[in-house]
Amino acid sequence: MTYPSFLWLIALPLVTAPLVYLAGRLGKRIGQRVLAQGAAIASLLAAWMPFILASVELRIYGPHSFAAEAISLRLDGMGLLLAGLSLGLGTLVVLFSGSYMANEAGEEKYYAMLVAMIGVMIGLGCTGDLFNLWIWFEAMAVSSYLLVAFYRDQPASLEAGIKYLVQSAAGSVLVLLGIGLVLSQTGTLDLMEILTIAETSPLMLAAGALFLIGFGVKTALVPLHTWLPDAHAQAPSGISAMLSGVVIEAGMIAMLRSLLALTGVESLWGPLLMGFGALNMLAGNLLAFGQKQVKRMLAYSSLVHIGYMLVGLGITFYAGESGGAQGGLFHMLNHGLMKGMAFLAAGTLLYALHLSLGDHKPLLIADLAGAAKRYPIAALTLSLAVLGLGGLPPLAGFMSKWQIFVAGFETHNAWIGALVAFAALNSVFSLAYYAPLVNAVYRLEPSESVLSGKPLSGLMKVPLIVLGLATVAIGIWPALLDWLTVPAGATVLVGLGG
Amino acid sequence: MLEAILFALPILTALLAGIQAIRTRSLIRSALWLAGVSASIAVLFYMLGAHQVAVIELSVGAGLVTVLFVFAIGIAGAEIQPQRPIVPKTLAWVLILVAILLLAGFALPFATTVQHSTEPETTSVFWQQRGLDVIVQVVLIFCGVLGLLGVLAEEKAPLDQPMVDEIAAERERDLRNLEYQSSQSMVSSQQGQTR
Amino acid sequence: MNPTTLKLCLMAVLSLVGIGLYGLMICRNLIKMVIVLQILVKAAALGLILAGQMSSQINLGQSLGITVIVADTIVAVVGMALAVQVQRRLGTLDVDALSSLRG
Repeated sequence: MTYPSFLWLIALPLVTAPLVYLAGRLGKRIGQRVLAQGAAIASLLAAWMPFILASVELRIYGPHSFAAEAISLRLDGMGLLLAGLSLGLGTLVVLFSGSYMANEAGEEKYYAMLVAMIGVMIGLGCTGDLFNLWIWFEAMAVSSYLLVAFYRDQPASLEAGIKYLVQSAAGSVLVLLGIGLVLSQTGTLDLMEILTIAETSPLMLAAGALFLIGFGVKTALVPLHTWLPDAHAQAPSGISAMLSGVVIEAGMIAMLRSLLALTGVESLWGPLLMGFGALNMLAGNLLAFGQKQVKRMLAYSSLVHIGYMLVGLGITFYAGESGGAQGGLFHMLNHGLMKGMAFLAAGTLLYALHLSLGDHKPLLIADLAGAAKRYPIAALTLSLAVLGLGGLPPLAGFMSKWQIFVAGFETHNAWIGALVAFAALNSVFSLAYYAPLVNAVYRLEPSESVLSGKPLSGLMKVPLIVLGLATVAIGIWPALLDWLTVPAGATVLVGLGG
Repeated sequence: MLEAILFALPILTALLAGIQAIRTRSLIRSALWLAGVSASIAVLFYMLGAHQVAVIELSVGAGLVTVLFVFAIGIAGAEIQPQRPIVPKTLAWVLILVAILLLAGFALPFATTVQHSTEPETTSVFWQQRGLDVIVQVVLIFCGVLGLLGVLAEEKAPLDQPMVDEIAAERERDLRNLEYQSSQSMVSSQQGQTR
Repeated sequence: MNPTTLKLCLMAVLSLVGIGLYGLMICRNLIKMVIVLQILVKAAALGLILAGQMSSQINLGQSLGITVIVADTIVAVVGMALAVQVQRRLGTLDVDALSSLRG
């Protein structure tokens, strides 16, 4: 029996996570604290090998599945995209965390949990079974609870952790009820079979609504987003980058998978996704606008970007053309890179100005005044990231937004046209809170906290430089990522029966 | 009809226990009422023909979880709190009732059983057919245990850490300085007195 | 199983979910929130068993039920640990004490 390489891709991080923990314990005992980080880097670098093989296999053979008895694992474009995103950002975050976490107790748990979370997210992208999707999803949630509440001496981060736990656990119960409804009607849990068997019935509509709400908690659809700003702002910065760049996107992929299985049932999902998209953009922008803390502002801006992705995916659900989904998934990648970069850059500054001096105060925008003079690279990448998020032309964010907008106009539907115009307006409006940040960093005189900050270590800058180069490169040459986004967009179409 | 009445008994107990678990102000009582919910659900499982789950629900849900709750309450202290709800109670009731009635309206008229071919034993379904679920479950348990350790572990810096030695050495030095200074000041004050 | 019984059990699932969601809305004590979450989980497990029963795959339903019970016990344990840690740091389990993160 031969195992396809994507199985190794899933298994490698999961198997090595306990080893990372053990290496960390050993490192503590013999006084080599870098051992945990080294093991985590080695584990993730090793996972790149099967990733490359799997992407080549996907290119040659197309989507293929591996049946483990009743449950099938399946590698398709969407799974590969999520794997690439989580592995890519994960590797950079582990690199970044070296000096950021150096003074924290329990860093071996941090690295082991991070590696396990990456493996779980890759698995979540590849499963072809509804209940198996739930258990991957739950494993992802459990692995992120500790990471959110990592500073367990800080009341704020404990609160963020418990809020996150209660809300996502309630959401996952709703998903379970939806799974029960689907099982009772179709008698199967395989997503492909459900797609062919399911008939239109109010029960299936209820199941879809439960999936939308249940997974929507993790994806931060607007009335269900209240955990997000706390969790993203209170977690260690590397985790903020992972949460914002990959975890909410993984929730969205889970939602897409379950809804795609029900597309034969109902044509309502497209408009619903677009409606939530509009709500997310508006609410996210309004909430981000008044923020004084950098990380909270970035967290709220995640809501806006989830909105763009939902609009793109909703267009495809509605019109059946792959352009919207492709744009939405392309934006998912770009958002991961840019928001990851923004959180890591904010993290370096937070570390330099506050954490390394031993205080856990939040990083305010006012603290960053004149940061460019002392921390040129962090300031440059932070500015690049927020300008890219705002959608300024030669950067990555512009390209994917543009693709979504074009797909919207090509439907020749007045409502979708209006929605896309609304999205474009929101994109312009978002500059209203991104621009002051850039202004503060470059134009103002250095603030007291900048002058008293510590210098940065070299290794922290490496992920920033890599992400910055990637953002510019994708912006200039968007076809660079076609090998990931085109098959992923096609996956959505397959689900829609196109 | 008789069957329905037979089923209604554990269902009613479960609902009552659930309401009591929320209404009571003492945490310990709340945990015990939860055990009641668990036990009656387990009975219901048994009556539905799900014998293995009934056993597991009874031992894990009613047994283990209750013990853990009582343990946690013991550590955290069973403070009794005034019930000042976050959302106004009536609003909460109305919201929930509307949602449930909507769902019930959708679900109930379509509830029918479908006949399928015979299926294998529970053990083989659990361990073989859905073996992947079990594997992911193991991953989940690993994450949970690590999370528990991470949240709760008392971090006393182990003695063989170099940091600790440094700190101890520093404290020693400070202490010696302090002694030296105080002896110096004593000497100087004595000198002042003799003059 | 006759249709009346089935509907009765479905109503039980829905009512338990209702009770649980209501509890989440009004509870202020962190440990109690975790207790209420457990009520919700029981409802979900019952729902899955019923779904198995309805598609005459009771053993599949049982398998899913076991997985759910185990997984959510872990979640409850982590939740309790967080609550205990909050109590250690702040000396209270009241949600009100935790309102540092509004806005």
